[in-house]
Amino acid sequence: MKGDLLPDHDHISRYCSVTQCTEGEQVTGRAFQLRQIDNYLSANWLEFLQLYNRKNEIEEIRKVLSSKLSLGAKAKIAVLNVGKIIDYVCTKSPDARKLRVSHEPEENDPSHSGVYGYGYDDQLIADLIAEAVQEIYPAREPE
Amino acid sequence: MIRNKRSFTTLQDDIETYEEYHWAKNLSATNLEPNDSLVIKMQNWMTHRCIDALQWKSSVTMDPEVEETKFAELESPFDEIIDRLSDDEKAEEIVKFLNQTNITFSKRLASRIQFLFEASKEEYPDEGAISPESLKNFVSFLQSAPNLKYPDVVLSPDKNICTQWRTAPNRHFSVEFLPNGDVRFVIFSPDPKHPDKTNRMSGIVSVDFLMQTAQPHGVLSWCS
Repeated sequence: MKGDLLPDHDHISRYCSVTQCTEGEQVTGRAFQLRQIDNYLSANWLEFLQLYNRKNEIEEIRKVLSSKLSLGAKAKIAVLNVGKIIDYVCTKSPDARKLRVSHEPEENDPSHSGVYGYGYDDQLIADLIAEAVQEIYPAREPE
Repeated sequence: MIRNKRSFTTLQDDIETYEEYHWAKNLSATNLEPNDSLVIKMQNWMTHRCIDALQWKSSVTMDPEVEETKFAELESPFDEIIDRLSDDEKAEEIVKFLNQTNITFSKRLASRIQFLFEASKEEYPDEGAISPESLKNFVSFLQSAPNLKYPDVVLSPDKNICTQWRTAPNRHFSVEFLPNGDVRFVIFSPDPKHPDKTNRMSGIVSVDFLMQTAQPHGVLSWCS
């Protein structure tokens, strides 16, 4: 249901433009930085898809994203654990920032979720979230 | 050539400058060279004038006397041309200019920015690819800090230029160059008194004051 907090042991994925990755294909904090118009960071709740393995989850996320965005040829999908992001940012940020991750379903994107608790100018928080990335996949299916 | 306020109210200075540098001196040679050579020279001349005008519009602090002179030059007829350029065209002009700077890694950097430009256009074809003001502030910064190593260069969601020098989780220096001449920075560095601990800080300063702010935190030990 909209607004429900995601369980700590679940995972979210985040589309990362190639313009936010280094030449060595590392995802930087800029992939988790908000635009000035954003209230939260858009992500997808993987366990909500009930596909039970990462490969299928990522394939489904690719389909959803490609219906909403023009996926860059070298863009990435980063996977993060909900509890780890919250703990890591709270422990490492100077103001012990408490993030929350909640379900924000959309009509054509039922697993859509949001990371709340920081603003477009919180570059440090975005850099910490980047450090909590667990897995990275190509945003387009490899040929 | 420094002009007074009266002279730039006419086109005379620009016409004279143009003639002096390209027509009068090169007219005889033009007959011997392919026509496109002259066109290239005209384009280069225009590029320099465009970049000069862009620089004068920088919000980076300048000596008031210099600033006044530069401001006077803003009123040249070429400003109209600058104003006609789209943000993408301005960014492309700055990339061309980058190739002519004394930045040691200018070619590699120009190539990286060109890549970011194209990738940004691929994903968001209807938006400006890179903020030209941010790019201009970044290039000015690199010219004023020649000892820095080649950084990772990426874009923020608002299409500002961002750099990152990171060699370890506790040696991390990331900077976003804002269009207004300020920068947002983040530093993760070892605590000098407790090397097993990491100091984490962030802030906003003018681009002119960035290195003075960051230096006490030891960033030059991994950035230069």
